[in-house]
Amino acid sequence: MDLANHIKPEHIFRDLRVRDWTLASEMLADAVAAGAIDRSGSSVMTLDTSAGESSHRAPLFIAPGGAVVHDRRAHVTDITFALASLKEPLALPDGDGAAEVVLYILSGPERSAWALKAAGHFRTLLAEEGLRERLSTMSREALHAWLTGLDLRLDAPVLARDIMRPPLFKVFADTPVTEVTRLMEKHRSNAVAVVDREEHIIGEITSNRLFKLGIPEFFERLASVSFIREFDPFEHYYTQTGQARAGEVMTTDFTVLPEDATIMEVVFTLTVQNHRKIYVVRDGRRVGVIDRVEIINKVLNF
Amino acid sequence: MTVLLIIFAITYALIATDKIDKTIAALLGGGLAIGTGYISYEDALRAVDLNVIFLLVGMMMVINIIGRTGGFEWMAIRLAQAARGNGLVILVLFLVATAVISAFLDNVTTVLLMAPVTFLIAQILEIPVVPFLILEAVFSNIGGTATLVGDPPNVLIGSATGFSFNTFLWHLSPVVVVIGVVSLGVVVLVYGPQFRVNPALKDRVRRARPELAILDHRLLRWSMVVFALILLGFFLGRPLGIEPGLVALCGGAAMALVGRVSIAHVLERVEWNTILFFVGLFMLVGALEHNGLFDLLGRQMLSVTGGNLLLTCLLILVVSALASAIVDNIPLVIALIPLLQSIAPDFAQSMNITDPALVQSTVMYPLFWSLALGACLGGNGTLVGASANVVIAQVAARNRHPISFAQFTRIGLPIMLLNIVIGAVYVWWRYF
Repeated sequence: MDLANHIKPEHIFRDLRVRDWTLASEMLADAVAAGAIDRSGSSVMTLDTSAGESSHRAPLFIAPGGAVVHDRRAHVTDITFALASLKEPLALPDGDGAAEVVLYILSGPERSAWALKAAGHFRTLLAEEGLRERLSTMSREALHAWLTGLDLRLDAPVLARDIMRPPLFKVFADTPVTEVTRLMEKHRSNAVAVVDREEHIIGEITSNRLFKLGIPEFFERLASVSFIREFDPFEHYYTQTGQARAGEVMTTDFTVLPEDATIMEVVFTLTVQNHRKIYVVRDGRRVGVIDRVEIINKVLNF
Repeated sequence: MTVLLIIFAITYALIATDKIDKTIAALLGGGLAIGTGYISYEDALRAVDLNVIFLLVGMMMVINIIGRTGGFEWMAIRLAQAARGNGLVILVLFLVATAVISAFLDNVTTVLLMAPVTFLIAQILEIPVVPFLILEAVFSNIGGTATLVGDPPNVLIGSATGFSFNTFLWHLSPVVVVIGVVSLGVVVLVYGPQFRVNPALKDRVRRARPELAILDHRLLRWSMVVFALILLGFFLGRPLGIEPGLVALCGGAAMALVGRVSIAHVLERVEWNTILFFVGLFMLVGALEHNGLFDLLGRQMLSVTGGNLLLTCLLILVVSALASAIVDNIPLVIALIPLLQSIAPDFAQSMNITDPALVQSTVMYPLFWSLALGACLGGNGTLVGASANVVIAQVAARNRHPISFAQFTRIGLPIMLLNIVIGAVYVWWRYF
């Protein structure tokens, strides 16, 4: 049950020319179905419609420069992959940058865990094994042989490193809070780790924490404030917070898990222990993050 | 007996100094008294006054339900509008409201409910919040003195002596009204200039819409109906043989029922640490009583005062007031109640009174009203004298307006001394 067993050399493409993600996923889907794409980048066959409608084909940001397109179809029983480097990077939705390397996964609902595991392997190959460079320098056969030589088991337990996403930005202790809030808003993040220059996590800033720093405590004890119609002292309330730096407002109450933590541990930490975000660390250094919505999305949609 | 006294002294020292959580100190003290054999477990359980426990739990349930209706916010903004945004009038109205509410609800809860709206109004009108909060704590302690349910010392005295809610009202509320009015006069004279409001800011209060403060009209309506029935139960309870504890407990349950509030959520917010603090102290003091300590101390006290009832009352008033200014008044009262109960028969005997009703009116009333006035009003002397003071200081600190010990004492101590003098004159005038 190895990833390499489910990808043929002819499913590995270099410098694929596509204009958008729909086209990219259609081409790769057809290639997996037919086993070929012609030289111009056009597919020669289309995926058998009896395999059912695709339930999810939006590209998912998996690591800087890389995305996964998971094509889940009701009547597909096995799992098949295609791997492609793109001639021109394609912008990812949700402002997650652009992808130059795509892993396409065609699977049925029963292979969701394998798909999740494959996405994890893909992230590691991109981030740590130089997959992007190998795609541009190695032949299909050589790359396939290289993949075959790696331990890319699909039926291994899903671990934190398989479902985490890379940190999108860095906040240091001396980053002004105004910059932190700008980055949090840009990346739609409710919590962010504060790290040192070696990526050791030293604290966490949450939007809830920032709110509470500005709002006086008595505010929370009121049953209602709607009766006050003309009084908005918030500029005054947040004066101090706005002038602070990350190190002054962070809390040290954050949650870390090693990258080999099981999905069970991750879910337990997020739900039973009621943490909103988990920072995944290797040797004490942050390598990824997992939050509640992400894990629910991956478990439900993968 | 020496070991028991050591346990007692260490427990009280720990409670007074806050070295460890006072509930833990009280429970360990009570447990040790049983463990060392000074009192049997059965007798210790009998020493726990369930009437007090039920009253506290019941009233905590009631406050929890009323607090979520938005009724306090409504009242506060209505008062501010009635005062037309005048800072001094708002101060006076808030202090009167605090005192009146404190007479029927626990002081700590009253200040916890009043403090947020006080902060809001003070910020809106740009008036000083620290003296405002300190005075609210002071007036909650004054108001709490007026009734059986207003302050824990009175709850304890009422349960131990069997004095009814109406008896408390008849004997204590007149002097509390006098104390309140005189204290308000002093407040107006001393703090009036600090509470002037810029006319432009008064519009903020004028344009407020109090009707929007009420979050749950139905719950507010029903909780007020049940609260009125609880008060009626307090008034009529003793003649009917229904203790205040039962009235409060059933009242809390009835309020949850008619208000359709989850009883589990209501009970979660009951301050169980306070309840268990009482349980531990009851057991510890029960052990002391069981071993005759209070008879001994009572005889000592009588020898100091020469058997003079007035002098004894004044001594109790002053000592309990000064002690309450420094340490928690609850353990003090729990310890003093059996002491007073032990000396009362001696006074009755020396005055040749045998009729129980006459013993009550001639001996018990002056003794216990002195204790109530001293213990309740003495708490105003310092920041640590009463739970309401400590709580208001915590709230103020969390809102970036710390109250120092000296700040509180400057305001609280003169008012407390004035109140004690008025209380002493009242006891002398009414009972001798």
